[in-house]
Amino acid sequence: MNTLPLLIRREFWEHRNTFVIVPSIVTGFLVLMMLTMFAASTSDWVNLSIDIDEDNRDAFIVTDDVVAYFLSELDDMSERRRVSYLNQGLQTLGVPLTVILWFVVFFYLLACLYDDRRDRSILFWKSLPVSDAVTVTAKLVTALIVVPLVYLAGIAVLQLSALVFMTLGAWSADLSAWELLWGPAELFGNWFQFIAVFLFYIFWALPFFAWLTVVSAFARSVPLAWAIGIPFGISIAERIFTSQSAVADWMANHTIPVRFMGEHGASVGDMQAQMFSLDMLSAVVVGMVLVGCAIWLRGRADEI
Amino acid sequence: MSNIVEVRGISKRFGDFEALRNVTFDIAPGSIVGLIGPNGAGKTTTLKSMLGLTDFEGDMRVTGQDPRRGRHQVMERVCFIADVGVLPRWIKVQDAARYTAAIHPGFNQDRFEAMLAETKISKSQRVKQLSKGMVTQLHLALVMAIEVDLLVLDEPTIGLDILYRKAFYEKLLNDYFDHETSIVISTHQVEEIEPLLTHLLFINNGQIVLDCAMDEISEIYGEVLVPPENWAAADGLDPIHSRDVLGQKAMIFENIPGQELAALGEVHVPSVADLFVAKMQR
Repeated sequence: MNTLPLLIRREFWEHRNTFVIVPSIVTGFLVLMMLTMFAASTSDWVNLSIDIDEDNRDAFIVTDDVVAYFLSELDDMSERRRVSYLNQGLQTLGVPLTVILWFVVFFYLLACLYDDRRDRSILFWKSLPVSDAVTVTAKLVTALIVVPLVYLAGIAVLQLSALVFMTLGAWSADLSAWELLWGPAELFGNWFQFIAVFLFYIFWALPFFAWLTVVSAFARSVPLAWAIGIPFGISIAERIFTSQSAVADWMANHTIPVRFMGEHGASVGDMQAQMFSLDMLSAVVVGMVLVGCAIWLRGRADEI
Repeated sequence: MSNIVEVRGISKRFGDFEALRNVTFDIAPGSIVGLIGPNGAGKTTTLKSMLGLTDFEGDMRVTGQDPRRGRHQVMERVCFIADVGVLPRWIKVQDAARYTAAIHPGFNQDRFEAMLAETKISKSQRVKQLSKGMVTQLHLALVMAIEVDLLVLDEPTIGLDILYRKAFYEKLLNDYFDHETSIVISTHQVEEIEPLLTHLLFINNGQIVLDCAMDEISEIYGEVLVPPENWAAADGLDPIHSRDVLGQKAMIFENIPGQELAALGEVHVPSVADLFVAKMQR
């Protein structure tokens, strides 16, 4: 019998707060904020009397008429600029949830093979006929695939709400919502890109994620200190003994999401180039070895 | 039918400490075995070895398999309750049942519900809302709904009050035991489980010091209330234990024919508790 879906449900029972409640609250809060902004926008659309200082556009002007301001901007633009402007805006809406997601995944993986040793419930889980390999796999799949999809759903709700609010604004200003908003907004493209970037990141940073499960499986206390301390120690040792930083750079490169975005871009084309690089191969190999270690350690794990 | 468990000379060290020393025993189908020893004697290590939860040296078969190779395969035929309170605190009662049912295809939902109905546990409660005794009841209900070859109980009632303890063992014997499933119970409270047992395993300092069926005890061991005039003669038969009882000595002998013992005084079968004390002090 395939137990993986059940094991993933189990993770959601345990971590309902960070997997479901937190993204729901954040999404709800941001939708509410947008709604307030929209409601605060006066209906005086025809005279778009916004204090736009044309000479100093960087000085972002917060007025009650954010929606109107945004629409007028879009209306003035060429079609090509409109597409990139609008989609950048939509992507920005996803930033808070993406950042929270990263921390949720980080702390979840760090705790997933540690907490049940600590509260001794490992003796219950291990009394059931589920192999250690399936257990560890379920936790990785939960963290790296299922939970990101939940957060993506939140992002999608945010983006759709923003478009709906602005559509209402466009209607009352007699602008074409299709031309300004729904046409240029590449929603599916955005979501596809989120998934593609995340998939890429899963493999690119597999050593990092797998390392967290390894620490979670062996640490007898303070897993966070082990998770950070050992790579840090390796980096320092490398610096002292070889006065180089190849390993340290590799580790940083395959950990920090901003760095990965910066160097390789988040565009699908750039990722394709990296997909079959030696760098990527090294990450996948090291990652798989570490996953194997985590499974092995889990097999020997006992209450602490 | 072959044995459910065959343990052949297993040893286990924790650094300098020898937790198990060349432990050998069998568990036959349909037996209820008491694994009895003081704290730190190696009870839990023995049971954990049987369940594939810890590594060891030597040879062992549980339901025909080496537990070190495939814990999850062994667990298809074995259930385990480690002392009270190892159920995850965050889980809801109904989810614990749902999870166990999906993992164990043989989980009998009706049986679980019937067991639960006899307690005050509600299915929407979380484990952390239950008392210690209720958590044990829930765990027992989960385990009793699964049909297995071997049930392993490691100090299952430690820290519970006497009402829960009695009810636990009554349930186990009346509702669960069907003469096909074997049960191993580890404890250091001998008296409580004595009436249940078909076999005794005493363990001390990592070694098995007694391995016999309950109905063999009367053949092997005899306790004699020896009056002072026979003390010298009794000592000659090398009693394994002696204690003072109202001016007489209650002595336990091993492998001495009944007639010889009768000549010393009043003979009866030693209680498991007295036998335990005798074996532990030797």
